[in-house]
Amino acid sequence: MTAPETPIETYLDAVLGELRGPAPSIRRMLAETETHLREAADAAEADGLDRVAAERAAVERFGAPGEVARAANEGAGVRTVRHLAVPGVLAAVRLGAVGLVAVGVTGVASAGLRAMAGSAYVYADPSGVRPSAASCAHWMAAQPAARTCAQAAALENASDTLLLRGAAGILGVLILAVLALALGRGHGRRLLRALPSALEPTIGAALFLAAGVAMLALGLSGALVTGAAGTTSGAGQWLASGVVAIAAALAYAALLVRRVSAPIPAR
Amino acid sequence: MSRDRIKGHLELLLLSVLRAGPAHGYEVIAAMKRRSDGELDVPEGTVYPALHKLEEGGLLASEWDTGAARRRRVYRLTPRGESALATERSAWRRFSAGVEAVIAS
Repeated sequence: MTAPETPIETYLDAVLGELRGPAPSIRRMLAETETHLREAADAAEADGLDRVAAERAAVERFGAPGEVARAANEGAGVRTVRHLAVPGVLAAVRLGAVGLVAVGVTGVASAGLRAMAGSAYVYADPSGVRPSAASCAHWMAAQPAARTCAQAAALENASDTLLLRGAAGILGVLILAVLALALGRGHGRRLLRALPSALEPTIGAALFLAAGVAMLALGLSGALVTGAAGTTSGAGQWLASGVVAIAAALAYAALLVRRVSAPIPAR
Repeated sequence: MSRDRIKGHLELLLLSVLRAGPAHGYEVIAAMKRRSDGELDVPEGTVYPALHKLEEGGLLASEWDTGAARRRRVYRLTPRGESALATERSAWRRFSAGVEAVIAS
């Protein structure tokens, strides 16, 4: 039968369970803690306490394991949720801004596809959609070149799409420029280093890949289903957007590969 | 003295204690309590991370002392630590004189 754990041993186990960071920091903190507790217990024992009571007193004065480990972890550069909140939000904003730029690019890509495949393929409503007479009248008035309501809807959709997506893209570029200025040096640069370098490209690649696959699937199914009925309404828009999203996913994947294969910087 | 009040001044206190000469953590804490008549009572375990931080900042240096029955990490003030201590001490004196002047009036 093994001897029961002493208060000091139990305490050391509790602190060890909470310590994070590089192994030498943990080893050193634990060694110093043990020496301190044993010396404090020796002194208390010399003052007349029995060994167990002396160890308990030493442990109590040392502080709660969680509190001590938290102080040690902060000193060892271990980041807590509190430290990660601001960099996490900044990284999310940057991802969102890249998303806006991608939306802007899909607007341009859709316009490019329209030049090759025509307005109906890229911008027309799905064949089952029956717009109201009032909508038709509005579109026909706005697009005098159109001969049918469907044509007018597609042309109207084309100009709205380019305008709105273009605006989203410009907003994204502006946000990225502000972030680059704020985070490009000094404190800002250090702030983002708190996050694992692979985090942002991993999330970016995963999100853009999922969005790209979903949009390509929509575009392809739209092309097949409506193609059978003689029209291919709107499929081009999904396909163009899907291709842009996949390209963004590949760019993030390339960044991820570069980051994980870069040498780890010295602490 | 409340523990929160010590927190911001722990580094100044540690540098001051080590000005008397190299010491290991247990001695540093004991000296701090002794000199303050037990008034400065921090969770002893939080002193070690503070010592590590000072060392990382170049204000202290340390090495293992294996001569004693137990292996101890002995800390000493570096020249940079000496000058940081002088600066911090005079800043503290100005601050505490200001507080004293206000609460005495």
